[in-house]
Amino acid sequence: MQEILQVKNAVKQFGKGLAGVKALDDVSFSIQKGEFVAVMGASGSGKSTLLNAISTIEPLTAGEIKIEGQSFSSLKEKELSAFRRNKLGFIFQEYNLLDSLTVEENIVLPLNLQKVDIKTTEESLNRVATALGVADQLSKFPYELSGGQRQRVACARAVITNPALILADEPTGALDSKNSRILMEQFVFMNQSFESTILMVTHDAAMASYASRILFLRDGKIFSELLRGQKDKKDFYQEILAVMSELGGETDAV
Amino acid sequence: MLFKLAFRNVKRQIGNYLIYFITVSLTVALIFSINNMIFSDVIRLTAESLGSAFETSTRALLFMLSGFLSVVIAFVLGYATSFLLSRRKKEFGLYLTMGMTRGNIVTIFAGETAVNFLLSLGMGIFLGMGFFQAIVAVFSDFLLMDYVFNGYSLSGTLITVILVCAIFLLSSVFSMLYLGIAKISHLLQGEKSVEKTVKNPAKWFVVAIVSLAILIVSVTLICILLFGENVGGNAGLICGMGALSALAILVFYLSLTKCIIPLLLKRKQFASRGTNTFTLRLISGRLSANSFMTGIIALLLSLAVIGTNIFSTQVAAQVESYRQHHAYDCLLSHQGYTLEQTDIAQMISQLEKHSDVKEYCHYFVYESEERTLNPLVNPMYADEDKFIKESDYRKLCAMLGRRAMDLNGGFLVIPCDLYTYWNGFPAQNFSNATLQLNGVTYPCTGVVEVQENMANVYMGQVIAVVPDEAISQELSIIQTTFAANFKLFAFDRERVSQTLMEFSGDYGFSNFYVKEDVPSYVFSTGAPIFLILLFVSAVLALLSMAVLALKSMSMISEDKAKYKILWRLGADKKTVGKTLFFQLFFFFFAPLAMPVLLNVPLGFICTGMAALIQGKGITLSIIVGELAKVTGALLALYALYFVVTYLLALLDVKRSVHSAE
Repeated sequence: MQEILQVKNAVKQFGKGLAGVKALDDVSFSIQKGEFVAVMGASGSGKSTLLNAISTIEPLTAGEIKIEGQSFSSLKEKELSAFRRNKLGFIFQEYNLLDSLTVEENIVLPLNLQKVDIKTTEESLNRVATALGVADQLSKFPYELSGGQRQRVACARAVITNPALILADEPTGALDSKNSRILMEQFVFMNQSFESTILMVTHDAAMASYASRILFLRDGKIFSELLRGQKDKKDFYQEILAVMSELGGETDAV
Repeated sequence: MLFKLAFRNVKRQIGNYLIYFITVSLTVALIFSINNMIFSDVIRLTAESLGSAFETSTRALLFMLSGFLSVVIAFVLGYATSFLLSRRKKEFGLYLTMGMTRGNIVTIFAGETAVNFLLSLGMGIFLGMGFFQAIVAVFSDFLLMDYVFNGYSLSGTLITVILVCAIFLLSSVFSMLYLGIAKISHLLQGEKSVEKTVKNPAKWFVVAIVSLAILIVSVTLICILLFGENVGGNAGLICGMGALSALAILVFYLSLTKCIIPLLLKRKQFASRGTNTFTLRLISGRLSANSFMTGIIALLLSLAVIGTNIFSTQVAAQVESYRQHHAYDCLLSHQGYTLEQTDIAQMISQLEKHSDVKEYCHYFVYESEERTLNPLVNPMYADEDKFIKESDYRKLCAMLGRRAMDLNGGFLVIPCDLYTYWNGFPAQNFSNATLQLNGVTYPCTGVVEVQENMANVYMGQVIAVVPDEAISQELSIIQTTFAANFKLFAFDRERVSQTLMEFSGDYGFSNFYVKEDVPSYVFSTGAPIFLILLFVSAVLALLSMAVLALKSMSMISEDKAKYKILWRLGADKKTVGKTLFFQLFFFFFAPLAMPVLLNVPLGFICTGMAALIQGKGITLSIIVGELAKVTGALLALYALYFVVTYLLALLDVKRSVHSAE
């Protein structure tokens, strides 16, 4: 198995001295190619900081992060942008689609930034748009789509470059339960069909149960880790609830 | 509580309020200066010298101008207020959800804008006082009057305050009404606009082409009518064509903004390169939403370019005409009285007291009893042949810095009258001409190309340059001329004039001139109209740029979230900056394209006007030079505004991107 992401002794401190807060405290883990990993934790547990650090947006105070074996801590701004463009795909809670661009233009934007030729761009567009069920929406603007459709467009944009790692930040946060379920099925589909490696931050146990592995964060540290293995979704969900109960006692705490 | 909130808001939104403050202050300053000008002493004093008709017409023109500017200012002020409102919508929506009443938010907004407006009004009047004195100084200078401090008119100030306050209240009322009825959800959406696909861009393209064709035809017709035989009779038609041109510019922009980007987006090869689609979509959204505003700005800038160009080219033409007719620093010529060498020596010694004489030429014009040459210019002219010596001709050429033509054993012809020369001098008539002088026959070996009144002889006539030995006792001296250049151009003109007058002689006909720094007649009667044109042009250009800057800042405020997404998707900061540059560049410079292109017909119109007023000696190159200067100045000012706006927008976007880090 190829190691896609390696986080080694990651520390992120905000502020200095007594007023300083460690958002990440010696976090280490790795993700193999084709894995679908969820990160759970209460507010302030450090999940967003971890995601920002992996997405090159937030530099670490100490430690190292490697994606496909390449560390990016020493890269310059321009190289970091290229790194983000070529290695990462993003799916955000608020979709982050550009409302002035059509669905098609939104999806192919990362390829345009990579200066990929038109023929390849169109082939990739057809492949992901068909797979994610947005092929008939290409000429529309985001405001003409439902929340679920918008998130699928965001997924298509994230996978079109075949990134090494897809980072999803609370992707179901703005969706109802039906659309959340559909989106998670798309994630599983992307994971299986495109062999996409996904790291998803969520607070929803039901959504996390679609992942193959779950990391639980508490006070900036990895508190626990769950592997789905051969378990079915329902059993895995119960296990998640149990860890969550251990984590803070209340489901709401997560 | 509400006052405290309003005060804190103003403090927090200082950037937005600064833009509002600068725009409104500038606007008030301009209207204040023009309203004070209406009642100023400079107009009254000019009227005394030029007649009361001037006073009535200039004041009426200034009143009309003030009215016209009020309309433009209402547009700018209304725009500035709506700019502030658009930046605050989300915040007001939030206040409403927190339980504030609509009355509360209207009070907050009214309080903030009123405080800001009053400060801007104060600053505008203060700036306007300076503007007014500057305009008076320029006006006095152009009219060759001494500048004296002009008192401020109470009527002018009151008119300004009432006018600006009324416009402000009117624009505020609309904003208040909007705040009073707008849905909370709409307010919470803030400045977010919904993108719409332009239907049938090809049709809009056809409309753009048709309007451009109408513009070209109407401008061509204006040119034809202006230089036709019955300009006065066609005045109505010319005005109609002018209005049609203005309408065509407006429609052209309305349609072009709706078609150009959709058509570019259809070119996949181009659109798919880097951030092109992103940029084009941003421009498309902004342009189609602001197509009317873009058209209006293009129209205002066109008027500004036309006004300034007409002013500058006509002044340049007058100066050039003056230069052509006043070739030397000073000149004295006598007919019927001969200045001898001793007189010249005395005169130079007198002149040297005022300024060092660099070079001079003292020459005689001789006349024979023959009538060979002048009838060749026009059979009606039957004056006797006139001559100057080759050595004098060479001296004159040296003084003018021109290469003297060789006589090649014959004689040269100099047309003495610039008007005749430029309007078709029959040079070919002289090809077979000969002169019998001192027993020798001289053939005509050339015609001197005239660029200035070189020999200062008789209107409508020619003078022959002959070898010195051809001048015999048989020829009579009919004119003595003394021309001189000084080492420095800043010589005492009054004293030089007095000296020349002393040597003018007591009998015969004599005339003299002293070349002036600013030719006195250049700015006499046309000056007020030209100055007003220049002022209006400057106001239109400045206000257009102010509106563009406001719109750009408001636009970037809406778009910065998009740039943040672009950055997150992997566009580096340089690409983000470049994309922002192109977006703003297109938005800023699109309205300037038409005014710049209008320079082509303007070149012809201005050259034609100059030829009508000053004669055909005013070459296209002088006019083109002036057009280039005016356009260059406008572009420089525009570029300055653009750079400042771009840097502020870049800062705004960078801040937004940094907030993601």
